[in-house]
Amino acid sequence: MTSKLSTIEIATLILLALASVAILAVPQFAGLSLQLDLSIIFVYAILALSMGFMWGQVGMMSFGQTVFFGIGGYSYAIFALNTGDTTTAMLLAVLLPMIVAALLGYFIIYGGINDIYFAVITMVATIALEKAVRATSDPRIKIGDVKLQGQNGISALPDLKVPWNPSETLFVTEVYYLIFIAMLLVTAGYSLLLRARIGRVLVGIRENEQRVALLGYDPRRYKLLIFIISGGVAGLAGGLYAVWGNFVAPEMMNLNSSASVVINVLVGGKASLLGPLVGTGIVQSLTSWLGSAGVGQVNLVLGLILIAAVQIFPQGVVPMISAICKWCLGHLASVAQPSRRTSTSMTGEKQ
Amino acid sequence: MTALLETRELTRRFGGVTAIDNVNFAVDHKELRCLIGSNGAGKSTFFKMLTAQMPPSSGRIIFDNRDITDLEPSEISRLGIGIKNQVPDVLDGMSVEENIWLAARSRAGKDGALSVVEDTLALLDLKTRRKELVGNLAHGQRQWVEFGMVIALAPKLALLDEPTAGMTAAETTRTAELIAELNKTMAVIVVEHDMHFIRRLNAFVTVFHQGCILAEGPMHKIMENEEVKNVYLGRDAA
Repeated sequence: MTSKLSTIEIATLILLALASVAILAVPQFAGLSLQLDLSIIFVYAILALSMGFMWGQVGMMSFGQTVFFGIGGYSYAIFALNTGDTTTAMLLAVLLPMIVAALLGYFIIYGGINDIYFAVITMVATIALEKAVRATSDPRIKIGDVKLQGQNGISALPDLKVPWNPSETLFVTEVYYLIFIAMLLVTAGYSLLLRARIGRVLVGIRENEQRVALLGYDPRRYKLLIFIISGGVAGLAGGLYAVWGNFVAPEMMNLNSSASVVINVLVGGKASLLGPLVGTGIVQSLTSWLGSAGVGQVNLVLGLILIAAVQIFPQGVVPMISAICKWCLGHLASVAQPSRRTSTSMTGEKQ
Repeated sequence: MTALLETRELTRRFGGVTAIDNVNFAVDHKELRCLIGSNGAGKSTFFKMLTAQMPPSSGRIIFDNRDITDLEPSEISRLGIGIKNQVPDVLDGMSVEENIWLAARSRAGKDGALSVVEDTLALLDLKTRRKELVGNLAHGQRQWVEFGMVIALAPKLALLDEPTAGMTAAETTRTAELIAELNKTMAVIVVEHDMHFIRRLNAFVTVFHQGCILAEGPMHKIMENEEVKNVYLGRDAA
């Protein structure tokens, strides 16, 4: 449906543009360590977005989005080490998770599994794969020439090469830009999807699945489609993770990782696309700050902060901030035009 | 010409209770039909089976020369059946125009859908409320939105379950007009128990009783039917 942008949307876009300029300028004045820290936040933000979109817009809570993150990472690692072709490796990091999502999603969604059972099954999927990969420490277990090495993970992965000039590889700053741009493109892609017909149907499914079916849309088809797309996005994040650290390990898929995706989304708020991004930024920064501030029990302190956060703004940080902004704007508008409020309330009564 | 919708020996059991017992029922193209019956007569169960919201225990449902007994709700909708449930069954978190647009876009192309939305909003007097969330509207208006969705689907058959439930007298009058309007282009089946409303519709009536069809005929004939008076109309008709 074609609709014009609202004031809030325009304000959001301007803020995003300003933030983007600031982020793109970071390498001009900050060292490599900050660039590395920010890069990994962007990677987790992409992962959180792939989970938050399904949860917030469609009402599908995938607790095991890390299964696709892990498959993406391992796809990149294994293919890149075997062939040295990092471009194809990155494409596979997106494609293979999509294929797995199609298979897994088909059985879950067409099997009529919904709500909490959907969350449980996806969580079991990520834990099962994590355990399976952990069990590959035997040096005879290889894919091509690459040893999987169980819980030690695969290290010394090749740097990403420039697709049109394979003799050149990307270094920290270029990877920083690449990951940031990938995050922007994924966000833009999701927001275009949301405005298209498929996006409206997905939101309709969240609101009332039965009604959407009675309008002639098969909800299962749409749910499977978004599960596959989001699997691909999580896989992309996994591939970028492998590029960022030159390393993949089964921890990418463990319960800790999958829970932290949910926490990132929860803190930022799942109602908007901005929520998962902001939430990841807050939680990840907090985690590394607590680590460096010499707090012994980082997880304990983080847990307490999260409990407090969910109590104070249950909808997430982003909806709270935007509510405050709206209130301020509305207040300013009514101060500027004192007659407007009374006239709208009168027409409201007439109808 | 064969009937638009037909049920053949349709049966639904719940444990030991037979809610619908071997019902043979037919509705023609562009017909207006009312289903009445006291509570527990089986009309709601019958309605749910017609709309693929509940599978029958046995028997077949034929629509437009196709067996639709085992189809999904979305497939039935695509074949040309529009459904309005008793409780306003709408998308509360979306705007009025989005609700209607989703219905229109299910059939029509991009531009076609937009003009269907305009026509439907005009017909229902909802133009001024188009941007509002459906969840914020009053009960009667949410009923209109659901009506709008059925209209925008432009089905061959509209199935309406108690369309006037919870409506004011003025809204009920308007609903009767709307049903007449719909009936110009499509067959309509209305499940109701408001006798005044049914009299106003002046439709062919099917009376359900204990899971079976007790009587069928024009409303004035039904009113005179002794059996119907005894089991159903007894108190109301006087």
